[in-house]
Amino acid sequence: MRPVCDYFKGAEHRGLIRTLFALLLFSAGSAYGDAVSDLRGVSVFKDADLNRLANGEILAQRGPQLGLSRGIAIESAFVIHAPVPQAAAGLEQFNPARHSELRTYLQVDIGSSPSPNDFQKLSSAPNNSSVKAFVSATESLPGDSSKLQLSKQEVRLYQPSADKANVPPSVVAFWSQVLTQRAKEFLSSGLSGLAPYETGGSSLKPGEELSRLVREDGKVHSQFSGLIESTPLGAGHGSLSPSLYWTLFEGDNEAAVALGASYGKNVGDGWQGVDVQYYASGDLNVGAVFYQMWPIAINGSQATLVWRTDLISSSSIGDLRGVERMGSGSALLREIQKNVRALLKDMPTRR
Amino acid sequence: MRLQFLGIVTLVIGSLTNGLAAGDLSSWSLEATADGSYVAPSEIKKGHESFGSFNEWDSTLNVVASNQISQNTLLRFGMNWQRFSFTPDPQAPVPGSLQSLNLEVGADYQLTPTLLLRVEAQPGFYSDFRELRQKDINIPFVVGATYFVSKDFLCVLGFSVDLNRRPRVYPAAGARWRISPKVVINAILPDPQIEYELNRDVMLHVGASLKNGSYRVNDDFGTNRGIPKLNNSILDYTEIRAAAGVSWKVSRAVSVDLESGCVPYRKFDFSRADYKVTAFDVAPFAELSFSAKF
Repeated sequence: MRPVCDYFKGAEHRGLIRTLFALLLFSAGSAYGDAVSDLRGVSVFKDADLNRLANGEILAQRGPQLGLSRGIAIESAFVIHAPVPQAAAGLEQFNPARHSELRTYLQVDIGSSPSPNDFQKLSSAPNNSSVKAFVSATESLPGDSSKLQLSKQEVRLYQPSADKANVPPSVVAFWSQVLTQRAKEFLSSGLSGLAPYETGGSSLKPGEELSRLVREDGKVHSQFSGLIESTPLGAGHGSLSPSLYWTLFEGDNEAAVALGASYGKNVGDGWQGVDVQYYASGDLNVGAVFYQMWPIAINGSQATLVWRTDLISSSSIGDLRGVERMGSGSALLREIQKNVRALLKDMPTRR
Repeated sequence: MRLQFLGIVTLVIGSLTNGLAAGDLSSWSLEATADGSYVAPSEIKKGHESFGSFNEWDSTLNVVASNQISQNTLLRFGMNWQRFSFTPDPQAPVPGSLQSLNLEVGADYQLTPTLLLRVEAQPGFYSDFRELRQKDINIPFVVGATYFVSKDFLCVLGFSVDLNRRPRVYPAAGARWRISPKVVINAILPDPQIEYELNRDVMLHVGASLKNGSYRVNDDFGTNRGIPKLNNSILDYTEIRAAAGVSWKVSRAVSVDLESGCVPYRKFDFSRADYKVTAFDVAPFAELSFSAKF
């Protein structure tokens, strides 16, 4: 059998080489065109320029106005210089706690059968004013329990003790119980199983809040309908297995704990994922972040075009009025850009 | 997937307010503020010539409604009343009061995802309110842009135009920088200050405050004081305060602020008549203000 390289020897084959290069360029252009057309079609980035995205630009803009007063949608788009499978894997493994600028103190995986042991690392939280405020708020229970977004039943679980530590054992034990119970409810019954909690003098049902957030962003609901149906965002448990985790992060002058679940699946030659955060003890009520990944080619290398939509419900957003609300969207998208930059740093890129 | 948007949200907007607003989003919002302050006696002088001392009472009422008419545009309609009330000697070239009663009409526009623009006209009466005359009407306006460099740092650039004032155009630039979770440097006129958030509901602040405006005095103002050239003249009033205070968020919608400090500088400048008097005495003051957002 004649070696392939032989085809490129001699002048008589130059036309063939040109044809092959043309085919390669055409196929690359086609991949570019399809993906960026898809991005323009589904997102707010109607003028997205793939060359600029490929050079590191991170687009971010407010998404559609949601009817939920506490809700906000932010869309972003960027390129990962790695094939879709690697990009999706990098996203699934991304841990913001490795990036101090993101102010996530702890992020810990939860097993498929949550237990209080999954939350013992709370005792190793850093010694700073935010964590102290979180501990202080917990120790003042049943005080103003709505600031910790707890149900009346959960408040009763707190057993004060005289133990002294950065995060005392009584606080660790209390939150371990609360978070274990909520994670179990999520696993067993999906969104409908999530217990309501008190916040700002009202009772909030996190499941209903998440459903409404997703429903109100028509583009997201349409683009990710298959994924949504495979997760608790659709109904019941969903068919996909979640990656569960909890996190301790810097809140509004006070650290907060939160529970999340991630889902992802291949869709055609791309990938879709969603991160659902179904409980937080701080200002955030609930949130969902959707990812759409499309394969593209950049200079002959496989890469991934990503469209991300953050859907967030926060009591604080509900209180913002007029230009403050507009400005908060601007500030929020800057933070999302920072988050994406951190994600890209951790990606196994081919640049 | 470890997306970590919790911290993002709470840091960005959680610091502004908290609580739960039930129900659907309304395109309308309403902001109202009311404040009153008292400034202790201070001597007023022109050069070395003294015109005695005077107290000051200052009060403001402001109501602004906003309507978001599109994703990027917010219209603003409102009304503002401000009164500086003084107790000067009869011969002092200081009016008994300076008042403004004006509309606020403007818009906020999002030029880019991180650049906001405000244009606002403030047509109304600006005078000593001895009587309301057509020539007391003025239409100052402001144009300002806010650029979000990051969640923690934003820059402001703008100018105000008042055809009665000298200078007619005041440029302004400032920045707001959250240097730590609890500390914010708010270097934006007219109230630059350092803010310390004690907790979610209580904020301590220390800084300065600039109050100024241009007003037309009455036709007899100068004659009554033996300075006829001041009749019907434009008075540019400037006051600088240094203060420390505390803001308390009473509820999701209502805040109360109490501050106290001193007023080291006040100037009554009849610039077109080339006549001005100043008060350099460091006079203590106290101010109480309420604000509400719905």
